[in-house]
Amino acid sequence: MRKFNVLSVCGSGTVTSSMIAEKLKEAMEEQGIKITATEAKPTEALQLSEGGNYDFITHTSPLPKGNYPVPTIDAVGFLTGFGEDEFLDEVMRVIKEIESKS
Amino acid sequence: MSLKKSKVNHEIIKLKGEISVFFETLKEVFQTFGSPVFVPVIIFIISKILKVNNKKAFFSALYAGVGLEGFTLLLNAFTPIITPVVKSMVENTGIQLPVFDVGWQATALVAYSTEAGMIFLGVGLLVQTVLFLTRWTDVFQPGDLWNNYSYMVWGSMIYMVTKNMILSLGCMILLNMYSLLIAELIAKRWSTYYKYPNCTIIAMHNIEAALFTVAFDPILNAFGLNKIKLSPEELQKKLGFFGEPVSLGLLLGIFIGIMGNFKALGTLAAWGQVATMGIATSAIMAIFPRVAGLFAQAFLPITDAAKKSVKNGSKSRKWYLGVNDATGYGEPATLISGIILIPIMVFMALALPGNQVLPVVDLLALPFMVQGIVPLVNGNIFKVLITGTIWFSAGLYMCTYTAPMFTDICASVGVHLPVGALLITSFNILGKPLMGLVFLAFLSQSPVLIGIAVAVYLVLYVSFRKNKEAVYDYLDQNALKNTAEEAKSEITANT
Repeated sequence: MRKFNVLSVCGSGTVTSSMIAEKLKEAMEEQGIKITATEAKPTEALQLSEGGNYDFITHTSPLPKGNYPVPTIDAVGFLTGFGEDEFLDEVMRVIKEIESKS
Repeated sequence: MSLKKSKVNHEIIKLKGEISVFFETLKEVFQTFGSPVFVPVIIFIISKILKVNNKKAFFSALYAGVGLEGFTLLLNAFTPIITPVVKSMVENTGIQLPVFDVGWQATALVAYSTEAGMIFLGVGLLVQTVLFLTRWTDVFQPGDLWNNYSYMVWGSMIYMVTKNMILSLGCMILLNMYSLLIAELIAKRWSTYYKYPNCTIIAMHNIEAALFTVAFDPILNAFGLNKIKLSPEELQKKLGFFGEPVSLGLLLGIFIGIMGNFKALGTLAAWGQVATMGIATSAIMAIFPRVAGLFAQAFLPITDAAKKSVKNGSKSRKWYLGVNDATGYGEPATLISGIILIPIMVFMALALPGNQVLPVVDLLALPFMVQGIVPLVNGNIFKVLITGTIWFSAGLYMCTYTAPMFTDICASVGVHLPVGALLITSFNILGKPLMGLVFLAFLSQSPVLIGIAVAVYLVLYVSFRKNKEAVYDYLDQNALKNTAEEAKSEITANT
């Protein structure tokens, strides 16, 4: 099984990010991809992503400006339910990009 | 005819009897099993009604129980540490702040575990869906079911004091309707400012300030404050220290510790307690939210199922989807003004006569709380600071007043606080002056006061709905009077 580490960001780093992470895990399991997620606040995102443990970031809050070393994906559509497919397409695109590099 | 009537009356009496038996039984079962067992069962049943599959429903239910038990374990471990310190702070320094703010996450867990809360879990979803489908409101609230706990807290207090579930339900539904009205009032501004098309936030505790802002803003403009442009990015970087749970917790813990040991600061034991308080408060700030994160997973399947049910029936009308307020959190003017308000609110809590609340965990919620203000003043940070300081200070008094009742509710779901030593509150959830007035009307059980609360709602509702476009235009024009640039946020995929 293919495995990816995701940093899930929302305002408080608790409620919404947990929901997004859980939903993403389920959706990706159908594709044979295992997602491990960590929840975080926007202000922690840059520092955590620089630690090198994450493959990409999903966020429902705007991220502070910075040079993020990994792809960042807006997850608001996934949260509202009105852009789920677009979000999942974007995740798959990022995953393929990561796989082609390694 | 009269026979028919008496038969109907008889049926009504029978129904009333059945309802009260139902609530009595519910109460007994509830008390025997306790909320960490009872809540998962309810979540499982609701999930099944919404046709969630067994595995998902089971895990949702279990997460709810785990979150709740985790919260009880934590708070029961924390109170013996903080209680003596707060007590001696009150005795030694005369700082009368015996009400500790445990934060919105903990409050949510408590609210969901009360009888009133569990009943509203179903009733709220139903009421909100019906109000939307009948076009009473153009905001679809079940997009963010999580925040329903905001009504449950008030409703639970009504039920605890009056033992009247109908009254409690009435209070929760009226509060819900008030907050839907506010959500619709700010919908266009929120959606435009934060750049989420057709979305608005619905959390009552974070939009209540909008009513005050609408009334207060013309006064600020009269003083020319709309021309002030503040862009304190530098200040935010310096104050960023306050915005992190662990560092803010340490700082506040040490502060309480020093106040509590004011007369004994020459002794080693005193500094031991100061340091312990610092680390313990820091730990609470960091761990509480994680527990709420576990609990939140229980709500995902229900929220998703509710959203799917409305998608089909909502074509060809202009409407707004209720989204979680996390979506506005990181916007620069919001985050900056929220963080600057942290030290301001601590100062206000110390300075205001009669206030008994020390805001702690919910200081971190300030960037959520200002979201009812920021879009209306188009990100004018200076105005947000003034409006927020006044309104949230008023909120401290509502927290002070409701603290004994809220503490009792916590005790009823299994948090054991030593009597008379320490009270708890949530600065974000209970610090709502206007919604608090509606609550007080129901608490009084006076038909006149409840009638006034309903009448005020109806007047506001009718005048808003009749002039909706004009109100939206006014709010837009008023917001654009501010010279502050609309802050550019880093929304990448959406734009």
